[in-house]
Amino acid sequence: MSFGPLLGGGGYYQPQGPRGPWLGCGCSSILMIMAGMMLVMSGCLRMLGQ
Amino acid sequence: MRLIPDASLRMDMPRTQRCRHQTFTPSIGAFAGLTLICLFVISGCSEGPQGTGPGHREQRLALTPSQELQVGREAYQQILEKAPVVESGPEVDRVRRVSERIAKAVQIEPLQREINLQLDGYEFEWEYNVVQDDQANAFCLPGGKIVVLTGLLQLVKSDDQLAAVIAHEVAHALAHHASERIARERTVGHGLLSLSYNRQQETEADHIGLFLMTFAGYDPDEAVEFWKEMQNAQGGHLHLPEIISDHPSDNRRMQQLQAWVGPAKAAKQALDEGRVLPISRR
Repeated sequence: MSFGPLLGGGGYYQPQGPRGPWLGCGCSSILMIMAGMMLVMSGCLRMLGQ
Repeated sequence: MRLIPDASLRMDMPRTQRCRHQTFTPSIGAFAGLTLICLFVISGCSEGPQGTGPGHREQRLALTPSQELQVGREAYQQILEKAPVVESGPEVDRVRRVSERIAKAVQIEPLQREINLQLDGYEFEWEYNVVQDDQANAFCLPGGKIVVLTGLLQLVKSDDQLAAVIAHEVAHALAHHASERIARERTVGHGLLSLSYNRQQETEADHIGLFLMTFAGYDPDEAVEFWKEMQNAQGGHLHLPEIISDHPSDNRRMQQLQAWVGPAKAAKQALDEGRVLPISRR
């Protein structure tokens, strides 16, 4: 017996980006930017805390 | 060299002093968390694309449904007036048999929703013709007008392989690629960007076509096999680099098709087992 997403919800066709399956949605780059911002912010806060 | 004494000094610090360097106050933590949430909301990443095109991508069209049908009718008539149409025989029967199964698969409503095909208001007057020509090619005009050249019929080794090509061409019509190209050429014109979009349409037609042929009861593995054979047949010929071609490279095409075979088969199995999302839960 196999299970998976229900047909009709896009779980099988699975495009990965705004223009279809050939581009990433950019989630990883957004996370990288956020991580960078958090690092800078934490550094600044550490300096302020000293 | 200075790191060692500094580190040793830090270890010698009183515990309370060390903690000042390592702990955020609750208000700072809350501020950081709020920033994080705001960034998620702004990026809209969790929502994903919600356009009207296949796979919910954004898609701009130039033609209304009736214009699209009219363009398809007129172009088909012009082509058939000049082309040596094969009127009957086993080749014609084969093309009609395979095409009719593909056209029937288009009517599967959960599949339309799965891909997000916009077919409301669009009329498809399916017609299938074989034209005597040594080129290995086929096409489907808007409105469901299919032409297969005899050169292709000599190349395909099974109905599954023929279904792979016809489903790819039908996918262009279902995804309104002609209308989208007209809309795009009005804005960006021709050039490298346009070629890139054309490659994307080809890839999308491969993706949709693979699902279509699978739902029509054909073996999607044969699509991969067909492209392998095409690549081998073209072996010594010069290929354009992908970036200046309007088609994806054969290697990329095979890799992508191979990756989609599993999901296409699983989707068909879901349909056969009745695991379908109710329309109200979309």
